[in-house]
Amino acid sequence: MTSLSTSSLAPLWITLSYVAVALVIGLGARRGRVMDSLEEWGVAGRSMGTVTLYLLIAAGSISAYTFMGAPGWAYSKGVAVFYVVIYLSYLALVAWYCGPRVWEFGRRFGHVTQGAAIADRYQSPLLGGLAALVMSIGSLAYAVLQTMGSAYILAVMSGGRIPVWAGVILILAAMALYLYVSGQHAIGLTNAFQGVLMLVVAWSVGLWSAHTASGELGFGAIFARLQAERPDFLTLPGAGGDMSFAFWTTSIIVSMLSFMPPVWSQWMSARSADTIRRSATWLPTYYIVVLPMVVVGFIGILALPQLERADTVALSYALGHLPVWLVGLLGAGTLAAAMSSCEPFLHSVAMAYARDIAQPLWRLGDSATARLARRLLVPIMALIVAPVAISEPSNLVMILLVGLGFATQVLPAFIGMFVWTRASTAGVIAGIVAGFCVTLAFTLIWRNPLGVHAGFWGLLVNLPLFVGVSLLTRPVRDDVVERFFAISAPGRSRA
Amino acid sequence: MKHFVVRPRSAAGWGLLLLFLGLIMMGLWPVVAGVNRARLAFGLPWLALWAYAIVAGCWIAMLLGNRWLARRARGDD
Repeated sequence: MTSLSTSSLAPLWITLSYVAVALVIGLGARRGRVMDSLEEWGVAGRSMGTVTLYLLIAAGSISAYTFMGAPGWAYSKGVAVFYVVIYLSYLALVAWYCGPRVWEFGRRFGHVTQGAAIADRYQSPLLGGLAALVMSIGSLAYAVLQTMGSAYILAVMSGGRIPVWAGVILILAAMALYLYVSGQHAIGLTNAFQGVLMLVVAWSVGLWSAHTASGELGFGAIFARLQAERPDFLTLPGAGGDMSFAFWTTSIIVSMLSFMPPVWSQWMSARSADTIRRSATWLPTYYIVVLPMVVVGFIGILALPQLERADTVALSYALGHLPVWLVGLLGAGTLAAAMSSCEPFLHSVAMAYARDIAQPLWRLGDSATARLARRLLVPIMALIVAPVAISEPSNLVMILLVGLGFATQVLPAFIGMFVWTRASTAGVIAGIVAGFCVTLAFTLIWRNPLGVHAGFWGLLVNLPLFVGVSLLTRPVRDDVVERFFAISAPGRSRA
Repeated sequence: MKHFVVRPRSAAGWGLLLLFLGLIMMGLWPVVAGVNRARLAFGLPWLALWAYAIVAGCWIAMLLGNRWLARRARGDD
């Protein structure tokens, strides 16, 4: 899998030490609590304070992409990579507005999953289950990608001594253990640890690399040299010419409007609605973590012009130019990024399958559903994530893009919760199905026509259809709509 | 029931909505085209600096939003 390697075992021990610390923190997060309800295992008994929630959401949104993909984008495309920072900040605005409302829905109506909220708002367990099922495609693809990234890091750090299959099993086993034992409490505390670690590692690696490359403890000399020698990396459409204004704009819009299920669970885990607002307010400050890693990608343009794989640029530069202890920390930081965004997706898929599909289908009680959710973790990892990650499918990124494209197509369901009372069940289903088909076609058959993101094309069909069909079909019962909009628009629900 | 689209009900609420929308416009075409130059400021490419200006703007907008909500909760607005 990898041509990169290190002969020293120090980086491997540092990386494995991180896994051991994460395991201890994750297992200890339970603190004697009884995990026999989804309320406790799924959303941490709605107990998380501002700092934990801040680091939970921040670390969850920073995946291995930040340590591998983002430097790779900088290396191959240039400043186009900064669209990530912008859409992450817009997601904080979305969290600030929608998060407190979602939390209040959960507290008053007992929702612990996104699918449960959709089923309740539209009085349709079928719609809730369908949304959960299709959302899980993107979630699982995301989890598989992060697992592959983790195994890749272990393979590099061990100089090939830990093969991919063993790395996949090791990482999944560690996550399975603490997720089963401590649930969302484990995700909260491990993400807090991982969030701090990532920030320290990213800035250490970025500043050390900049100093090695330019003799300065800053980034100015690197960009000044790029401006003189490769100015095409400093503007859109980028060095590859493939990040047009249309793709930049529509990618940001599509990413901003995708309400992934783990984010929903994170909002519901807050102690109060104000806790979410305070955490969301400070979230953008965390995204300075992206800058130093991106700079390593820019350094690679000049220092490593012949790389075969762009996403190995940070690791390649580190292995060639940084001390072994910092290479080890980079391994630990990358692994932290991969695990902190993988575990919320695995957890949310287990909850969704149990609560949104199995419970209504077999009329399970609440405690049986909670037990099932915990037990589903292992088969999801063993039968889906591990085999797919070990086989390293070449089309996984495509599956992920389709999955995330679908996540955006669920937008009508949320418009009907936060913005528009008249949204009907038929309107939402029509919009989602049409939007998904268009996104699928424009991802697999005719990729991003006119340089516009496939998910945006999906929304262009989805939203008018959603509005039209909603106006032509029977609205959801008044009492249900009023109870939701008493939260979404206090004082207006009976207007 | 009489159906509606949720919208702000006070001048401060409208101000916050326009601030959020303004920040979102700052990150999209055609505004980004205005900063799409191979120039540097404070050692960073213009587009990178613009991205972090948006990050700071979002943070400040939400801080203002929190202050407005606190004032509204006290009944000052």
